[in-house]
Amino acid sequence: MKAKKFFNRIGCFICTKEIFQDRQLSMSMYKYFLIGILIRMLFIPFFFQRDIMSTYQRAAETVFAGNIGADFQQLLTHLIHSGYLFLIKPFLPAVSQLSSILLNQDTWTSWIDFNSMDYVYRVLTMFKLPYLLLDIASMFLLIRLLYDGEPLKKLKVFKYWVFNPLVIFVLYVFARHDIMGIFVTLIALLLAKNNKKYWAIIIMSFGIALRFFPVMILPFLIFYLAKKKKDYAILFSIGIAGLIAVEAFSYLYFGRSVIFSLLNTQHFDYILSAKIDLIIHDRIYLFVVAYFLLFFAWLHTKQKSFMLFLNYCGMVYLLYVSISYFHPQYLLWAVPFMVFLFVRKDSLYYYHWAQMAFLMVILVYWGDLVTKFLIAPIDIRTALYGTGLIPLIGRFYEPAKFVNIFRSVFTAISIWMIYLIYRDNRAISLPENKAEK
Amino acid sequence: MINKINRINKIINRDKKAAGKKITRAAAVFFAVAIIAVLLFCLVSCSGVAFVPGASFGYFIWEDKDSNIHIAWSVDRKDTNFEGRITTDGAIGAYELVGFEDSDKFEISQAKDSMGFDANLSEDDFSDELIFKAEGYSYIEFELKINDAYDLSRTNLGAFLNSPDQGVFRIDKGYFDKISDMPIYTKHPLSGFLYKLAKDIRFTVFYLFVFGAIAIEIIRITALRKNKKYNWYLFLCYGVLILLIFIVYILLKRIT
Repeated sequence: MKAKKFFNRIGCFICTKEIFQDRQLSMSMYKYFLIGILIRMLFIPFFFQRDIMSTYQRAAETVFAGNIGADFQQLLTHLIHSGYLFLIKPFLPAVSQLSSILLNQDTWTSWIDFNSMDYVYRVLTMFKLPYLLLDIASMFLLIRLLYDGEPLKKLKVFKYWVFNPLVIFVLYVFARHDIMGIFVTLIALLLAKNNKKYWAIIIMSFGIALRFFPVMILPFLIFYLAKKKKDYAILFSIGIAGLIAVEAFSYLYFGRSVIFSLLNTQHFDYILSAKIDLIIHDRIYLFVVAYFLLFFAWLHTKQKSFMLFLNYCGMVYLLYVSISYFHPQYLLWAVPFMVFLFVRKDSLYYYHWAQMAFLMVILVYWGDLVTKFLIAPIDIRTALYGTGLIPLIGRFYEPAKFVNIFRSVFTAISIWMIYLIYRDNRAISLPENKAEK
Repeated sequence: MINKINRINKIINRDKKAAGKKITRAAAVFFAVAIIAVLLFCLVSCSGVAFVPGASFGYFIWEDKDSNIHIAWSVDRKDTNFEGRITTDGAIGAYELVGFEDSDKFEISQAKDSMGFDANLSEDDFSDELIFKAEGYSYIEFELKINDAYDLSRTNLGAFLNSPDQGVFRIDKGYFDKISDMPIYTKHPLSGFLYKLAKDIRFTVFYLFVFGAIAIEIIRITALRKNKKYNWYLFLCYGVLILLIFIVYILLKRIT
């Protein structure tokens, strides 16, 4: 009896009480979960993009060469990867060969050597394992964020995340570590939902220090959480505390500023990439304009419900990929917010699939590294000497034009999705306003 | 009456939705099957060397069903020089030059046992090809250069990435038949994939077991759950999985 109670508690803890107590729903959830894991397993050992290797190369510099500041721009992410690499070191096959490959400064040779390794599948699986665990944790965090008392909708949210093509592609084919930041952000959102405003903002602050993307939704979160005037100052101070802590550590330990270093990287220029030149030095950055328009819209929303807040977060990330230069993994930041919308609006889900399809074409932008080189672990020679997509397109049409046509449609889809979400906002707000009157 | 009509309309709408879903699923399955079929067809059917002139880069050599030997070279629209010499202990019969420009050079010896070419490709010149028939020979010797250097990995002999070991290489009579008879798993990219699976066999077995166990769990909670012979079928599933893993293990060991 005690054992049954214990397992019931675990079940409720994992998949919420509402779903766990409904046998049909819990079985469906279990089925989706298993199929999701099976799909992920198909990709885990066999595909990767150069970035995950670079991440672990920097971690190897810390673990094998003792250089703690191998990646001072993403210090927390780097330390987590270093810690993990240190932990799995005893279980890694051919560790001396692997360490020499990872420590090789010649990026091209190290990439070829890594792909030619006999144990590349095992190593890739071990490298991606933390992402899988955080992905699973995110699945179960998401169902707690919205639709309380509506287990069927919760299950749909779960399904939309588990089978999301972008999640699978970015985490297991592209092998990017964005899920770490997303997981921390989801915890912060859950705390925000439960009115634990200081904890929410502290965790969010940690998320910002981990990966800078959550900073985009920080002002929205502050205005959602703040109840009194002094809250704005306190929450804002805590919100940027993580970034300041990293900056202070970087300044003291490495003698250089991480914030200014980041501001001067090309990644920050991505945000400013869409612009209108007026005259002489006068210029308008489109993302900044649109972002603040969204922010003002949020500011003037009377009933700032949690659902509405999530909608605005989704709109912010969609806006970013709509009008700024972006890397494929940046779109992943919109997904945790969109899965809730898919439940309410089928059309958004279909547009998301269209986004994914167009993204696959936009990938051509980044050349072999993110297209044919993804299959390098399967057969390095095919990856190296097979015909690339750019020459193939270039044979018939100018590749840049070709891709940019798809890019433009992608932008149109994303902006249309923002509009659909905006309409959803109004639909959510109207009954609330009526109830208030 | 109105209620009845409404109810009928609801049923019709529900049926329409269900039919719509079925059609969507059927379309998705159809597209998935079509894509897999096309991929398999491309992998299995390439008895010659498939390449896209102006996109693929390198030499592509194959024999057609009339025993004509084709040497084609292509580059991804960059200025590139292709230079080569072909020698045989037999005789070179009929030959044909495809895509050669005035500036491209070709010569054949008086004894008709050797020929050479020196051709340039550019942004607008995608590919050239030399087709010839060799008669009464036991070998054909090739020396093929790209930009005055050997690039062996870009020389595809009868199959994609079936490359020679050295700059000057020979092929025997019947070489192309041997290549086309080679099983698919010995050709790229499958060969590279299977080699690594075989080399880390412990991981492969573990991976297959976990993958299979998850698949069986899905079968268990969907198809087997209410079956009367639940335990028996479950036992059977795991038996099949272990047998499959054993077969894969033996095959991988034999391949390598």
